[in-house]
Amino acid sequence: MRIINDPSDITNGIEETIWASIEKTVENNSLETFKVLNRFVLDVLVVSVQNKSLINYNKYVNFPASYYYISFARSKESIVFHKFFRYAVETSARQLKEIITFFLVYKNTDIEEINEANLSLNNDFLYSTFNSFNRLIYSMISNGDKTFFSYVLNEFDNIDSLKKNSYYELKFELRNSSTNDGGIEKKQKLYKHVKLFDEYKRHLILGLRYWTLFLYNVGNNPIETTMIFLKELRIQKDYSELLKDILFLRNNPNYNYFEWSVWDYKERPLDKMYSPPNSNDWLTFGFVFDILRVKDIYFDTQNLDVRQLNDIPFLYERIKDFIEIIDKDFDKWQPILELDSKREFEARCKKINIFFKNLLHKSVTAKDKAIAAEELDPEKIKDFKANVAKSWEANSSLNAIFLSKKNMKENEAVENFIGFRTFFQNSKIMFVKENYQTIYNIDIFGGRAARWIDDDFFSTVISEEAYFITKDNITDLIEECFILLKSKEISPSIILLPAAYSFKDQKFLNNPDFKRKYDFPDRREDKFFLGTYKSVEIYISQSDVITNKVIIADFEKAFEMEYRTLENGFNQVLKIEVESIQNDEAEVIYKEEPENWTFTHKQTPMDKDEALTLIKNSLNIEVGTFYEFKVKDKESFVVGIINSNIS
Amino acid sequence: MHKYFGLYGKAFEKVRKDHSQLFDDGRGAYFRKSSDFLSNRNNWYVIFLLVGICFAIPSVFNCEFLNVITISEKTLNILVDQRTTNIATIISISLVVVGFLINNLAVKSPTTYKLLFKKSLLYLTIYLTLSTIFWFIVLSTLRDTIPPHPFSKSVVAGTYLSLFILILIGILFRNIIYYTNEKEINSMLSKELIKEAKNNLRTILLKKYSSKIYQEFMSESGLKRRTYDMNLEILFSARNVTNDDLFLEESNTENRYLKNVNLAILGVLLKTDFIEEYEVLTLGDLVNIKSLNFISFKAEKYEGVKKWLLKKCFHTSKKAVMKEVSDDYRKEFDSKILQLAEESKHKSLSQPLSAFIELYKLQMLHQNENN
Repeated sequence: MRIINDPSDITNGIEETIWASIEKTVENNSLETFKVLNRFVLDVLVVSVQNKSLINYNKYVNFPASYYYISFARSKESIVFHKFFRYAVETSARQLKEIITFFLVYKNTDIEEINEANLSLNNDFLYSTFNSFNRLIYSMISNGDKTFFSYVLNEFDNIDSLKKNSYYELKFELRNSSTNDGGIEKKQKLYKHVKLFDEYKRHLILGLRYWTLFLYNVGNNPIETTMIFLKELRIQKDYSELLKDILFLRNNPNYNYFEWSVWDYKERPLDKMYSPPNSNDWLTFGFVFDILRVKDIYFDTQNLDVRQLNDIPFLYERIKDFIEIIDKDFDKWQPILELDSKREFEARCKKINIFFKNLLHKSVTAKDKAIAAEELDPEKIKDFKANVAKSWEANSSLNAIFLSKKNMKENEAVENFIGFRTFFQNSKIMFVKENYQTIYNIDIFGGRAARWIDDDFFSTVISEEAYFITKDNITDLIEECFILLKSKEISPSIILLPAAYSFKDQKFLNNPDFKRKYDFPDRREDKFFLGTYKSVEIYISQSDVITNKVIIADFEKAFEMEYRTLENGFNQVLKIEVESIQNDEAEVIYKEEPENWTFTHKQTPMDKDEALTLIKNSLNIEVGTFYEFKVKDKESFVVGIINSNIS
Repeated sequence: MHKYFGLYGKAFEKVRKDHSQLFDDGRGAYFRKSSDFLSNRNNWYVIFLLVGICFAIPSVFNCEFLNVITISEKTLNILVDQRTTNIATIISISLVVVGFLINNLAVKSPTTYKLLFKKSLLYLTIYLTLSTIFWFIVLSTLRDTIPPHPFSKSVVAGTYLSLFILILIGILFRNIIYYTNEKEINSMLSKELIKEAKNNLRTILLKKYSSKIYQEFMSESGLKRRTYDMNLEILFSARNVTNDDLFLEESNTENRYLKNVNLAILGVLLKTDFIEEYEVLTLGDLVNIKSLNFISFKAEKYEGVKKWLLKKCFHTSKKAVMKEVSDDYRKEFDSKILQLAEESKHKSLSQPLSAFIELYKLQMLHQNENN
């Protein structure tokens, strides 16, 4: 049970003793002792809640679920243990129910003051307790154990029977009020926390229900058992939440929500890598099952947010897949789907298709129009520019080297633009205020433009008729290059290496002539500096052009860079422009290739107006520099080629 | 006393202020401490010397209150021998009874024996008696050597000591009889468990606050905390690290345990601005005082006198300090609970379990993760 051994905790390890003792009582079938120990567990749980100590709570909260686990095995061995088993199961379910109902109610004072810290702590306690319940029922389903299933589920339904923790009224109030209402923000803030109680309760059942279906699908549980389980694992009254829930769960950032990601249905061999079934898949499958069971599919789609709408195309794809699976094996599914005939099944599939196609279309239009109408937000553009500049700076070693060596020359006539100008679809969303949404990794623009600088430099240098030397390993190669340069009386000042050499070739790194970067305290921050070899500075570059190549040079003598100064540019060299697309420009783009604009990105047809809206939601983005690299003196550098691939 | 200043003192004050429940309240604390000290098995020589002093003082200085009794020289000689035999008899009978009672101890385990000896003042009583007999024998041998006046005073003092021994034996019997009752023992054990936990908590909190205070102190002086950037390059090029290096910290003989930091001198030194970065220190840590590797310097300003002074700020010792986190009673309880569960003795289980609940309460009160 113990995860971390922490000697600075005076209660460290008590839970292990208690657990070992409980195991002993199960072994001895001594119910009275078990009761005493269980009382202790309960006491600790209550004391932890009172003292707000989640760490201690989590040490014990899973005990009740584990009672089932250990006593089930015993009860299978001998009938003698049955009484114990019964007591253990009933107690664990009842206790978990009571803890939630009596001790984990949101406190009135916290509700009134909207004390977010306390509310979210209470939610953490709730989650742990629900998860214990979850483990208990999961174990029962995995064992195909029907004996006390309805008892446990009944206890689960009775959680919070006084409705002290339910905030449905608040929810409806929020749904019906307009944004202008006074105090609505406060209520929203409150609802964000108190809704979790209902959500946990609902999601737990949802997960278990769909897991049951999955087990039936893979043939682990027979149909009778599955039917019993399904009957008990009812979806609660709020059926309309189902779509929202499934969209939420499919995109849940909490990877191990209710431990779904580790649920598995068979013993795996220890010596092979495996991953348990993907929870997204079986959840979606269960969802398909449930929408097939209702006659008329209807979901409230008013309150779906953009992220959820974005997932609808993917969800729809999966739904189509799963309907096909059920269709293929219809005989297996007919009894639990409770459908009379195949024809009815097909009729329902049709309805589902229509519903989701409509939803797909809807997911495109409304939001896009709003975004198209908005102005670009200068703050957001500023942030974007700063990010791009940062990643640009961090990705070009040559840029940094030239800057530090100072052999650069200003030249207004430089035409060579290293970078790109692109028509970036759907990107306006990250530059507006109202409907703002981030697009991740957009700052790679800067990195890309930067790496092209390296590429440009290396291709210029290598295409020159330079001296080439070939060798099998890097150390010999460098030595050879040194000798060649020495013969021409040139003393090298720089070695340029592919980035892979910063870790791959241990022989080189352990060479006594090589000194690591960390031996130079003042250069630790320098990202491209690797160290020195015979006191010649070594720099690395990410560029693909010098894979397996080394350039050794008297840098100041050999190369030069010309650049154009830009007034508004970052460091006066990097150009970053973000331009929105005007009406007439949008027309032009549409006219050029109208066939590109007949379907939305979610594959529903659209008309010209919608297409123009989409075009206007794109931006022209330009990132780059005006650099021109020149080789001043061919004699003062050598290009080395490594024959063998480094490994 | 230096330990009540500097970092230790500050941390101690903070623990004392914020966690006053962990400390014994003033009254009785000193008495308890000294009686604990005297009944320690290893402190026999203290008692021996004390008794010697008790015999010696009245004979050298004139104590008025001893002059109340007048004893003639003749009775004196008889008295010395009689007292010696009296005490010898009493102690031999007592020891037999004590032996019998210990035999009938309700819970027999090393911890309960330890507790019994401590609580009943057994060692104190026996050492005191034996010392008194020793000095009486010495006294009776020297009766013709010592002048009559100091001699008579010493005998009277010895008589008072004998009376005191009688009281102690009374206490011994009174206490030891408790130990035949299991409930009494258990409640005593629970108390000791909590006491042990409080002791441990004090040490733990002291360490925690010491590093916090040290960090605050250093950052208030405008220093940067040293950060390690664990980037891939280091990992890949960590070429010379061997197994020995990993255990270096423990085995390095230059490393010593940090006892205290003199913040006053350190504060003055910091003003001269020669330190760049620091690492957070905790009292009881192993530090290398020779190289001062937990501080990085601005090289040019780091000279002889400052170096010497800086080293003087850190008090260290070879012996481990503040490591005395003991868990004797915890272990006793753990094994007891396990044993009772195994034997299905549910009635006896509730008491140790409720002691653990107390422990949890204590922990949550003083070590709550939310604070």
